[in-house]
Amino acid sequence: MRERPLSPHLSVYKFKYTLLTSILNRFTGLALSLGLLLLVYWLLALACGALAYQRAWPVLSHLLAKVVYAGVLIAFCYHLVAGARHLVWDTARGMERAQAYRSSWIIAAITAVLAIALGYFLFCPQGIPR
Amino acid sequence: MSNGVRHWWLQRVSSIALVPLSIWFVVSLIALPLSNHAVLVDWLSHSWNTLLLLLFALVATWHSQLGVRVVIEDYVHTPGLNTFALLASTAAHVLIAVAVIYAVLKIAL
Repeated sequence: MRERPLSPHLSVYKFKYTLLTSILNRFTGLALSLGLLLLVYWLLALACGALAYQRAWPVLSHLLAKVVYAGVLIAFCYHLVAGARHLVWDTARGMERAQAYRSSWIIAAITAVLAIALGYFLFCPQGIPR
Repeated sequence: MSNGVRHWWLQRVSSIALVPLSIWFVVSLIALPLSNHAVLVDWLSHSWNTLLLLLFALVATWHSQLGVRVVIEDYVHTPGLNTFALLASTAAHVLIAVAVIYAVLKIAL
C-alpha cells in the first residue's frame, strides 16, 4: 500500500507565534511528565524515614537539582497559563488570528511574571530555615 | 462516547482539576521547611494534606499519561516502535502512580 500522509503536517505550516506557543505547550507538558519522577523521588525519600531523607537531602538541594527545579517551575507556569488558553479555545472563543496573536503575548507575559514570583518565594525564603 | 471523545474529555477534566490542585501544591512547597523531615511528615499526616497530595499526584500522573499518549500517537509512526512506546509510557505511569500511593500512605498512616 502506498504511504499515506499522517497528521501533524508540520512541514506545510509557515512559522507563527501561535505555532510556537502550541508546540511549547507540548514540550513543557513532557518536561512536567519527567518532573513527576522528581516528585516520586522526593516522596519515596520522605517515606524511607528521617535518616534516608537526611542522606537524600544533599542530592535534593544540590545546585544542579535547583537548576532542574527552576526549569520545571518555568514549564509548570507556562503549561498552566497556555493550558488555560486552550480551555478558552475549546469554547470556540479567541480563535480569530489577531486574538490568537495577542493571547500568545499575553500568556508569555503572565508566564514570566508567575515564574519570577514563584521562583522568588521558592528559592529566596526570608527567614524560613531550609 | 467514542474513544477519541472520551480521551479528549478526560484530558479537559483532569486539566481543570489540576489548576487548583497544582497551585495548592506549589504554595505548600513555598510554605514548608523542605529540609525538615519531621515537619514534612507531620504536614503530610494531616488528613486534608494526605488527600490533596494523593489527588494532585494521581490526577497529574493521569493527565501526563493522556498527554504523552497523544504525543506518541502524533510523532511515532513506525508500527512496532509506536506500540512499544505506548506500552512503555503506560507502564511508567502505572509505576509512578503505585510509587506515589505507596509513599504517601507509608508516610501518612
